[in-house]
Amino acid sequence: MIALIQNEIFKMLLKKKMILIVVLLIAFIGLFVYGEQYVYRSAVERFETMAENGTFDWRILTEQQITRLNERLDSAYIPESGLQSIEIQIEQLEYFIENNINPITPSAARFTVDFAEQSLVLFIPLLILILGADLVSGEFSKRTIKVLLTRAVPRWKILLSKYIALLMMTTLVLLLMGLIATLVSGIYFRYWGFNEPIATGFRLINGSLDARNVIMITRSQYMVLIYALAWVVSVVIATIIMMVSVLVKTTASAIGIIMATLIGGQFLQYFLSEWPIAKYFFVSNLDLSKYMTGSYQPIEGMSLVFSIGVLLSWAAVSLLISFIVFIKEDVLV
Amino acid sequence: MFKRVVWPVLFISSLVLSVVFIGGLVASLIITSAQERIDETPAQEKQQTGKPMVTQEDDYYELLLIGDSMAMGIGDEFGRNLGERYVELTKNETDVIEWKVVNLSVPGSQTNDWVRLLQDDFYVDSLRTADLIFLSIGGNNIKEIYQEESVAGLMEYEEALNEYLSEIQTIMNAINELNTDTQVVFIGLYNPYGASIGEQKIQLLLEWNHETQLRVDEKVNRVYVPLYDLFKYHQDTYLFLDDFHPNEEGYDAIANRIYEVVGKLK
Repeated sequence: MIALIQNEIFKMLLKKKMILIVVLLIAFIGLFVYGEQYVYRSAVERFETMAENGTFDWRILTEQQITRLNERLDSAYIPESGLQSIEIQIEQLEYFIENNINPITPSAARFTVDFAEQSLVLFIPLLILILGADLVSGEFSKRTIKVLLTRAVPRWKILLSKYIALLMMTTLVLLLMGLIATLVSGIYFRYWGFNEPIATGFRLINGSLDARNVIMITRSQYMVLIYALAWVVSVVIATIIMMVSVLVKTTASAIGIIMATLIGGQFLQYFLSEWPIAKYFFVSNLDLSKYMTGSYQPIEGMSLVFSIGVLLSWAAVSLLISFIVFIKEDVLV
Repeated sequence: MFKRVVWPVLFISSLVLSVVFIGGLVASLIITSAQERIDETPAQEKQQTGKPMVTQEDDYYELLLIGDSMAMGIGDEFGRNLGERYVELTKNETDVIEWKVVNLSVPGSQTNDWVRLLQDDFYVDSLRTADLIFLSIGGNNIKEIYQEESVAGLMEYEEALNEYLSEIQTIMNAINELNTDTQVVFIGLYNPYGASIGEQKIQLLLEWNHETQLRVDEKVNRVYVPLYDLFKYHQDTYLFLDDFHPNEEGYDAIANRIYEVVGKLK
């Protein structure tokens, strides 16, 4: 079994797909890092031209913000559920003052998380598509399937080894993405910001966002959480890609089907709040990271548990279909 | 090379990462959905804040005016405030309803005053029974900055706007929490100074109004009534002797506009 997986990984590495993925990652991350820095610079410039003495004194602004938040804390009119998040906002701002960091400075940790959040829905699935589209269909179009199946190994073992190899590579793609994003942005911004505090833990109670249980964690911890969610998404997408690759015989159609589903599925998002069935489509549930922040529009019945449940069910069904089809299928070459 | 170096590295790193990611997944699940702390207090509070009076049982509707001097009616020679004028207008309707106008406005007040005032039992009780609320606030917030001349005024403006917006939000939330059935009419700001204050400051006022409207019109039962356009070409006719507050005609025009927007309220 291990030998089979080794073989599959070797095949993937031979196709030099990882190099393509790394090049894509570096290109996009480089662009975004530059863009982020550019936006930051122009924001600072705007502040400077507005200020009288030509310097951007963020410290005073931040301190004023803290004072105002403190005043709000004293107000008996703040609903109890809002207290916690105000306290956390204050703590966050105080961290910036203590560490002499302008709160809008771009940091490597923030960029790495933002990049994962933004690419969760489309970019990460497409990277996995590069890896997995020809997983099985490639064997058909290259006619190597006959060689593969004539070996004295049960078919399920062949498919399982392909699946495990795909999952391993998927995991590594996420590692590469995290590493490249952190390194490129860290070197360019010259500020890592791993210990910056961030608020998370918003809950849906009776359909509205509840901030009572908000907790504060560091950016690096948050990074692990977001990448873990990205990994779940990737595993599910990898499984679905494998199913499509088993079902169709050419790599081109596998890519076409997956791309159309991913992009077309985005349109379904518009119906989410009105049309309950749309919630059960896997593309609607890809953006898991939104559940970790306090700034999303809650949709009735959708939560992190729900979305992961839907995704895993899709993965389970896809896995089942792939194995049944692959084992039962007549291969005529 | 592949079997000796690449394979073990790939295998171990993907295994370790998977474990880390599963751990992260479990952590995120716990963070977002673990035990839902059900406090006893909010439920009790809810009972208290539930509307104590059912309006239909009364023989009149209550109109509450809160805010600054404009809600008070300063500048009107006859001392009739916006509420009374609005009630006048509803009299033309076929089935007339009785209104009781309560004016609790404080001339010269700013948003922070109202954040404080709304904690007072007296105001809280009035808010609970109101069916329609006219709210005029913010004029005194922006007035201070308007008189600043320097560029630093711009910074201060940003500050004041943000502060104002968060306080508006607090006031709106407070009203909403006390009385979910009430209709709130937010009266916008006009420019009493005319073009003389310069394009830039007019831009700021427009931004101010726009940001306010974004917050106010968020909910169905709140409406922002713009006055900027109403006063733009009527500086001479709508303003009182102090060239700041509306005069009788001005108040009439405002009441007309409010009536156009909310109608007679079912």
